[in-house]
Amino acid sequence: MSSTQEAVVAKAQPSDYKTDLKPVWCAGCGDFGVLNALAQAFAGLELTPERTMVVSGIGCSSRIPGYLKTFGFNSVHGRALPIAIGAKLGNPELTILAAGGDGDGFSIGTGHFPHACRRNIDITYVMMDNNIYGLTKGQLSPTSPSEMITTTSGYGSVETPMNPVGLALGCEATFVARGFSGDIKHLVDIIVQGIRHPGFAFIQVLSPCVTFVGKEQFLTIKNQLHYLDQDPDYDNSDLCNAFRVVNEKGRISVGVIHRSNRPSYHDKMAQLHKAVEKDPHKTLASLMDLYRV
Amino acid sequence: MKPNELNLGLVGSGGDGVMAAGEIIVTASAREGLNCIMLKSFGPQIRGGESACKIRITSRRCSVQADDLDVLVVFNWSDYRRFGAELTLLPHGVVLEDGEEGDPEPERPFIGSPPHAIYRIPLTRIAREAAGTTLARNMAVIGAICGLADLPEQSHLDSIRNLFERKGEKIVEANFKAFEMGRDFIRNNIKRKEKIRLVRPSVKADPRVVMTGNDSVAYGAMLAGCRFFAGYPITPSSEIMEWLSVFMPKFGGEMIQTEDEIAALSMVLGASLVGRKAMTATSGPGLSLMNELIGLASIAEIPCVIVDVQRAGPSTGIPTKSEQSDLMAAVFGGHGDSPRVVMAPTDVSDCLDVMREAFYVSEKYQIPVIVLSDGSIGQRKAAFAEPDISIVRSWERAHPPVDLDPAEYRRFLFTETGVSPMSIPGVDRMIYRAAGIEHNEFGAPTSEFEMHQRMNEKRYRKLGFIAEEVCFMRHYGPEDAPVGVLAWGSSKGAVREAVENLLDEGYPVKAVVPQVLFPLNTEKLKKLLGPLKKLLVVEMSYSGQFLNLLKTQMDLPEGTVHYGRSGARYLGIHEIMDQVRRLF
Repeated sequence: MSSTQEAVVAKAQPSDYKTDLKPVWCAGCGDFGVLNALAQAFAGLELTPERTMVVSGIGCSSRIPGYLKTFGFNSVHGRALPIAIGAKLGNPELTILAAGGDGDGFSIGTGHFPHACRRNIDITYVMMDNNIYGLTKGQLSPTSPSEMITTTSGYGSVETPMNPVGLALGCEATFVARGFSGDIKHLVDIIVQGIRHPGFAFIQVLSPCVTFVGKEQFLTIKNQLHYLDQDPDYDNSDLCNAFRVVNEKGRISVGVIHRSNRPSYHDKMAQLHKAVEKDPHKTLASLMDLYRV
Repeated sequence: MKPNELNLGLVGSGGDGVMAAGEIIVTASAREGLNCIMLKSFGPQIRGGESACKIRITSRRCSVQADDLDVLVVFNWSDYRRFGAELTLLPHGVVLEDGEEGDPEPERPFIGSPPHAIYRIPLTRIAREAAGTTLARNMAVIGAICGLADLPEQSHLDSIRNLFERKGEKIVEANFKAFEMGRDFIRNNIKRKEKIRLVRPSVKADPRVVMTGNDSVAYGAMLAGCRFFAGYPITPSSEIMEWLSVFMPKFGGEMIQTEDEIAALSMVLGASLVGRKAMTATSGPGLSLMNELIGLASIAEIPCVIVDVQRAGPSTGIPTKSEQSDLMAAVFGGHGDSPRVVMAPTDVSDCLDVMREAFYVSEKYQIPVIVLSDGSIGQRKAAFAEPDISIVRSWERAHPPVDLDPAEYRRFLFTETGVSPMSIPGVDRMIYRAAGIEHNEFGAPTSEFEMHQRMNEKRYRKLGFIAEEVCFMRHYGPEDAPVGVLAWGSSKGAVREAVENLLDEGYPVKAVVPQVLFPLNTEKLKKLLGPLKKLLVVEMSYSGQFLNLLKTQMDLPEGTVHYGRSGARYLGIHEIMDQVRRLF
């Protein structure tokens, strides 16, 4: 914004954060909700598009940077997190989000997740979980429930699904939340909190696949929602509490499941830079002294 | 033996101080204005175990280790077995070993010609007497070598002081004492005529530096403006990351050790997208893991530099030994049509220059650049004239014009050179979506044939300009020589010296070594190879990767002969000379 006058007049609108590109998603896909929630969250935070970047891997949901009017990178399968980390380290002033699906983030990309948690770099990771591979047309995903019949599990899955929230808690992520793409208002609030969190923020969004799981999934989830922020007994700083909601029967807890205040990577870097200052070499040319005989 | 040259080999177990002794000798030689190269050889152990070094000291320029030794120091004969093939003696060569008269003679499993003489020196006794510990045996060895080869004492004492100074004067004195006792033992027991003299240059040469190829790569990257490094440890490249972990943060950069090589190149691409000059370093297996991301950098046109310090492969292969067998992986690795640039340094000081060039090309043309160093360059310690670090060919990426309507910004604009304006988050107003998916000029996904074809044309168009602009090719010997040798990377050392020796012997021969292997400036290479009746292509690859690459790029002269063999043993000067002589 070039002047205060303009700043007052031009209050950011969610539509300012959307491109004209028509999403490739099926009608009724949960990912539309996530797209709208992100646009609303960006508008609410009044993010500058030129200083914001959304990085994704491959999959239905990973198309999302194309629909958001910020810098974006639709990269390769499973690598959204390390690319986002590189971008944040490259310029810590930017707001960086990683986005993608359960297959992208918790199958091929799983190896990067614990490291993103432990490094606690200030990025936000929005994982759209539909329990299925949509883009490749209906194969088993790491979060597909046991017994689920898919194109690659014709007799029902014999595997136990992965629990992304449990994994995040186990990896000591400092911000762990779960949202539902069918409740955009609530999701916007979680995303805003995640972006504001000074460290790695993990948000699992239950984002049903209408084509390969079925649109009744929306209703199934909606009927089981339990809002943690409305639960007076829930203290999200208590890790034991958080683990209790990982594998609930009969209800699905949404909201900020856990947050803690471990120093971020950037805080630690500031300390490191102070330590480095003691090194006697002041210029690159003076490093040649290391080699002169 | 050439009178102005000395070749040493030391072999022992961990704790014998083989490398420390070697480094002291290298530094001392450098102080005397002599050129020097030290190659290190390790077994596959984690700590301790056997290690060997081979040192060449000469008043001439030297680009490679010599084939055979004047002096071999054996701390331990069982360790010698492992490295014997690398530590062969000249006919006049002598051996120094630990032992006293009265001790049982050890079994000596010599490989190659037997030594002219074996000198038994009571290293253990000297070390105990002088320093109270057998650890000082290596100091006694340095003294003995100085006595035997008439090396300048003061420079060695200075180097020893440098090494031990922070441990206190008492330790320095004890090590001096071990040095002197080793020297005196030789003086008192070895006849004068059996000693070897090294002729020192009468005039001090240029200011000297001693560094490894990996140091040189890291330093060169920083000089080129690189301020982001992400990498995963792998032999023999790890020292690059270790170096940068110290100095990258000092100069406002970021260095991060990642969970794997895939994350490493991913982070590099993320950092580069937001405007940092970024690199990673790895070895063969790591390069394989990065393949998909090299394609991503190619299609999304993201500058990045990937250093591959090659080792003997495939798979784990022989990780501590050198080879030139990642060439095909570097040039053609990955899927789809993905243009990239492949460059190769030929020695330690060249690493610095090639890194500066690599960043220049990568930034200017927005293309991944792979730098193929190898274990023999990366871990070699060399003394040479101080490089000029003031020359940096810096390049500012092409940004979109500030007054452009953001809706009109085309990140992947079709241009004559294939290079499009690259908008940087936080710097430019023009936002765009980068993509590994095929896209139009604006960056929007497409699956149309026409766009894919045009985008491929755009991306490949860069190669022609690159081949034209960065086409440095080394060549040695007379231009009109009828016989030539074509080599790349670290092979240059042996090839250059072989050609120089053959010229001395009266054979008209020349050598050509291109620095950029892909895209190859075939016009220029053809000119250099044009007058040849016979051409020998030399490389350290069993399957002949260099030869195969050349065949895909150009017609080679009719009389082309190939000499390619596995790595793990360095190419020898005489080995190349023998191959070339056959062509006459």
